[in-house]
Amino acid sequence: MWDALIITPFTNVLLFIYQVTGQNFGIAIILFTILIRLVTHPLTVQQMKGTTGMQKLQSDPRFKEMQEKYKGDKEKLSQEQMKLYKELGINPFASCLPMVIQFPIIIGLYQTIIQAMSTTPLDMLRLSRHIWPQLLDINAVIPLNSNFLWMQLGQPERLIIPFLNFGVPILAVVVMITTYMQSKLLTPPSANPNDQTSQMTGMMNLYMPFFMGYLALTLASGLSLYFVVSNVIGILQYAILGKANWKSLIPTMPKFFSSGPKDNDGKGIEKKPVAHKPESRAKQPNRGKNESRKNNAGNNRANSR
Amino acid sequence: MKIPRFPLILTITLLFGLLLSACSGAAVVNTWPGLSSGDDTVFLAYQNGVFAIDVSNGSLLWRFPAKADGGKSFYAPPTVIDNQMFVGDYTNTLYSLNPTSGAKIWEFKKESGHFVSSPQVVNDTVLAPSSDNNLYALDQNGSLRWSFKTNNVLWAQPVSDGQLVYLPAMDHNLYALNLSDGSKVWSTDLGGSLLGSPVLQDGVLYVNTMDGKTYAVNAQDGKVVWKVEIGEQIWASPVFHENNLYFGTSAGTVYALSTDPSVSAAERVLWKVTIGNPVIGAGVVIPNGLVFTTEAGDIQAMSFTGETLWIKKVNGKLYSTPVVVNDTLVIAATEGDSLLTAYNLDGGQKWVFTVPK
Repeated sequence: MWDALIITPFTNVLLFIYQVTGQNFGIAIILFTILIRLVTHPLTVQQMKGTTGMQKLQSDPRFKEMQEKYKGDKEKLSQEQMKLYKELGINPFASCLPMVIQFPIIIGLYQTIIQAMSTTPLDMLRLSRHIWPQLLDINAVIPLNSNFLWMQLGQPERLIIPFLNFGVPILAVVVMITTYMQSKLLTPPSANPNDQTSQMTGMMNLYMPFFMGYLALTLASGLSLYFVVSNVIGILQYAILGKANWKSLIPTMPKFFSSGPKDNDGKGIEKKPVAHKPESRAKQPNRGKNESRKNNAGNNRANSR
Repeated sequence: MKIPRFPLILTITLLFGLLLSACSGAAVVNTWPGLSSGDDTVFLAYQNGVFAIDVSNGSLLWRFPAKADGGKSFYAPPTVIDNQMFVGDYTNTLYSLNPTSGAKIWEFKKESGHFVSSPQVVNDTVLAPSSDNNLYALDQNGSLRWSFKTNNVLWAQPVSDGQLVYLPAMDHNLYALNLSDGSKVWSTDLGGSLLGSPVLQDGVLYVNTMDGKTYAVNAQDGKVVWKVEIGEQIWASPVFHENNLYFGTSAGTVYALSTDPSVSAAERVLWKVTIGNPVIGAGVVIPNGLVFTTEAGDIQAMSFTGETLWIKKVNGKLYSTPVVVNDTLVIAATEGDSLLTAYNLDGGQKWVFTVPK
């Protein structure tokens, strides 16, 4: 069922792209990832709208009030929350549902790339059974030409530099950087940075690049290429839709990117090094103590890195 | 209730990792076992070890490495010649072992690529095809003599006449190289991937392509002498016996071809027998015929004229080429109840072997 609905069609489309783009599997992975992300773009937009709605809800003082008020009565709390959802025109499932739909597609995309690279005879036997002979010439697509730039896409990537006696994992580093960028850009500023959820998000943002970097270091470089392309497209999607949270990208630069008058005159760039000094922060009346504490923590973390 | 933060994050990260590794199939290698024969011994390459099994009773003689090492994965059939074993693994390393004790003599490690096929040994040169597209020629001490790069992975064992090396490649070419220095003498594009080793007989190479063609190629100049279009995928080498070739196809048919250059294309196929389930491994010759195995677990012995001698069935998928050692037929199953099952040549079961924990 899964194979028939997802893997086989995906495999044939991916290999068709490979066949018509001069048998370059690196290009095929890039184009196929772009294609899938374009097809699922409306879902991404829906998901973003839902996330924005939930942020709006969480920053509403009435939401906090009712949480305090009905702390011991969950039923009443959910009734009141539903009323507030209706009043603010928010669908609580608006961000979950697109994600649920996208998830199998992303897993399918991942499995398809793995299958197409087929690094063992058994993998290749399975691949040969997914190919539609009406669409693809089996001699043109098996085996894949997995050479792309300096990489062999079925193997972990290492760039051999003549004067070094070991390979440098360039792609793993790029995966780490783009994963960090994507997770930071997509994290909205929290209404309450000290709450458990936003602290957890912060920790995930920190760990995930290392985790993805480890995967890129050990798995086939075709997958690392997919990780990079997917991250870059994610960043572009959010940037084009104006949802990218650029100011959380570099923890030491919140003021530089903030919307105060100093940021718009162009000279703010030169004032960047003093942006987080205590006296500068004092000029921002809207900042609460908690946020200021968080920024200090963030700066310390960044400095220690 | 406040949930502890670090264990929660760790759990989420581990679950995510588990999900990705479950999806990947790349981190964990999975393919069919490799079998080869020695004197009174069957050698098995499977998962993280190489095993030597006494063919008389199925008992384990030794394993390499002595303790299971999750970092290694062996699937290529080992090659044993002159008291030395050569076996490659999927972590880019070719090992030379003592075939009587399993002790390591040397190892040859590459930065990338894995060894899917058996190495070939010609005179004092070890020829190891790799998935990094190279054929490596090593001396008996594991030092590199030369290498030859092709355009795609190498999954089939080369053959040699002592002067030239004939290398089947996935880039559709059959190459002839000088054994002494690896220089190319000729190459012939056969239009399909070469998954099986060629058979060299009286100056002619017989080879199957994955897209379902069988070629006879002149070993001197690489010219195609004749070809037959079968039209069904062929995954293994043909078996040569008394001037005929025998092989199975993924459509579940066993073919017998005449190698006589004088017969017409219409007369080339002597007979074909439908087994019904995909035949992926090569056949093996027994005194009164051949044995082929199928993906559905069928073991079918047939005479050289295609009549069924006996049929057995195991619970498992039979992709690996069986071996015959001292009147014992040994088959290796993937996803089966037992890894190895041994039969008398009349089909009576002798023993089974599973990898000890």
